[in-house]
Amino acid sequence: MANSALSVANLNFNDIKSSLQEYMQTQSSLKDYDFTGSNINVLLDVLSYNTYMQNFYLNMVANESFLNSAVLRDSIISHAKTLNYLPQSRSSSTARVKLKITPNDTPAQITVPKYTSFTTTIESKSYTFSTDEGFTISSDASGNYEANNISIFEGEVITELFTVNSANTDQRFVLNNPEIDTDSLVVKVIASAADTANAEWTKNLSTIGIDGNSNTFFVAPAESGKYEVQFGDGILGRKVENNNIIQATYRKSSGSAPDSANTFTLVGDIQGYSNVVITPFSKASGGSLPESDESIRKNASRSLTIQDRTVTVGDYKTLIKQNFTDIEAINVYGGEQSIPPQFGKVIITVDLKNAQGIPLSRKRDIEAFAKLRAPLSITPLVVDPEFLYVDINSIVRYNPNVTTKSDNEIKTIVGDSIKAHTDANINDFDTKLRMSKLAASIDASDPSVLNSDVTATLEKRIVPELNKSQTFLLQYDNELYREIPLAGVFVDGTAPITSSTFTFDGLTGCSFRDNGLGVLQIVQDTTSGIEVIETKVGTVDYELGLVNINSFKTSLYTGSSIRVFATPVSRTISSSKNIILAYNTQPSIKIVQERS
Amino acid sequence: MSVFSDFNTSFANHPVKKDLSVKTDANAVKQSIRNLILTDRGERLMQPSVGSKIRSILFENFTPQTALLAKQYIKETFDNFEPRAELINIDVSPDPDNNSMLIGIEFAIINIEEPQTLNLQIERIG
Repeated sequence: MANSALSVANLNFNDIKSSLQEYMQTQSSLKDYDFTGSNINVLLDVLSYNTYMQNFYLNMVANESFLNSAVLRDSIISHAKTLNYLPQSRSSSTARVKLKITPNDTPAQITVPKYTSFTTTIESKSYTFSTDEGFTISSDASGNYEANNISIFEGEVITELFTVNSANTDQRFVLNNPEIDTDSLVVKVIASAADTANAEWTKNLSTIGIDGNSNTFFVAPAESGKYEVQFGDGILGRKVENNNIIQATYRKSSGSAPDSANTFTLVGDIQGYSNVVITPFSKASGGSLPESDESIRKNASRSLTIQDRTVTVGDYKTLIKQNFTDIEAINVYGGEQSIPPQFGKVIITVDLKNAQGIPLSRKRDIEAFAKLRAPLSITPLVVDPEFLYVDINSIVRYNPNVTTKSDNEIKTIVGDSIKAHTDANINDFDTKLRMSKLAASIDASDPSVLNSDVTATLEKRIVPELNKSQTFLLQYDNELYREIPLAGVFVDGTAPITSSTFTFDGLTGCSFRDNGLGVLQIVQDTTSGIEVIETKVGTVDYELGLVNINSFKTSLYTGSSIRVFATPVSRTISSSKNIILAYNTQPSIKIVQERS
Repeated sequence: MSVFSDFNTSFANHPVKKDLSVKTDANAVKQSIRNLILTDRGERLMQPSVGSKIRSILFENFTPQTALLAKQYIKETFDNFEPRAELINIDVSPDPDNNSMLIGIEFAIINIEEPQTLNLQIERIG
């Protein structure tokens, strides 16, 4: 009969032993249970230890049985697998380079093969980068063989071969390296050793759109951080046949260690030519370790909620980010919010890692992917992101009596603080920059800072083609300040909407400004004052934050773009739709000493 | 009625009752002291501080310090783990030729008038 005095619910060795000792109090045969040297005490130690281990084991079993409480990675991955969630593998660091080949003859084309390798060294350690596709370079008008913006990916290229044995019903195709970047995985199925027509099969995350003739494979997490390749059963995906040879080629990534590499050397030669100059466009970045346990816990359950269908904004974001891993930021909104409205469409805007804009082919890929999963009559449309720059103007007062820092040092600290705040809060879609919080960050940047006044100016950049009439719609996405000048003169001398200078109609030093009545003009700053050159070149909708520039033609402008500035009404600047709020990294900071 | 009682280390049966044989009072305490002295530190499950370090000195060369160390270790063990007994005297006789040590412990048990003696021979085997 169970003794209610004996509690075995404790998880701690000492507590279990205390319970047993309490139980022993109920008998008089062996009284030395609480003296350390006694035999019965030793026996209680053994019993307690056994109970403790049992409790620990059962506790672990219970923990590992649920996604939320599992601690072993294999358990977490196993739970994720049941939710059809593929944990993110390592990602290769990616760099973009320009290749310039100077051959000693004049070939019509030079072929750069897939997996052409380059090396780089970071902190005395050598890393290998390679191309993930082959391409050809033709001679340009100057006789140069140049390829621009070539992506190269870090990682040793590994090829593994498996022979299908249909007699082995438990056969699995587990790839040996947990360091794999699954995005790089290419699988070919060769009919037999004598066959040379090895077709490349495509990777699928779901069974949507595939049938028994689809040459498709799936990647699934396996034990010990590895991944395995799985094939269809002849109904959903083509089945592999006996003696087929499976060739899996992938990169073994070093994670983020090679990030920031920007000097590359060709390994060997390209089609026999070794005089190759490699100029980096962007240094290596984007390398990462496998998805963390915490992230898998969070995303696996979300993945189940979505069930590979895009209905809500969150569905689109999660599925597209999961499938296209080169996406840095994404936003999705209904076409009715577009200007002009596009009913029946879902607008997807993405910012790719280390890329300016998004290539048309990538847009089509994303649209096709989303269309398969979207409800009927909904058409996904991918649009380029627009950048809305924020220029920060700050006046900072500090007490020189409590610091040994100079004005310039304070200025640097404040600049770093503004950058840290904006990095953490904006540079993404759907973000807000609150002036009060930015001011608080500046105030906290150094104990000597007394207070700060912060204002922001919004900036859009247009790049007109020279001597060509063009129309621009600038979306500031925030209500703009409006001031009606008195006798043509603004209070502080400048209009709320201004711009950098350009040449208009042969006149240099021209710029845009608004007249306070919703009209955009072109003015010139002359020695006799501001002179209006064009009374109406566009319109301004202050409430919606829209500036239209119509039929504008310029012959020259300073810098790489014309920068059009506008003053927002609110001290909270926000962005929506396809607009990324971006920090202009050159803030105007004025330092004022105030001794107290 | 005995005050202290513990089962025998040998798990021997009682010759008549065939029950587990039990040591009581002074014998139980002696058995406990013997267990404590012969238990090495770290040997007891989850209780690494229980026991004495006397075995470790068997692996050292015998010097005049060795006997002093042995006495100190035995005293520490008494003080820390055996509240039923009060140490009176310890006599340690090293027998270096046989790699062993003869230990004589004289102690008093609470509630028992006459002093008790426990003799142990500990030796290095192998």
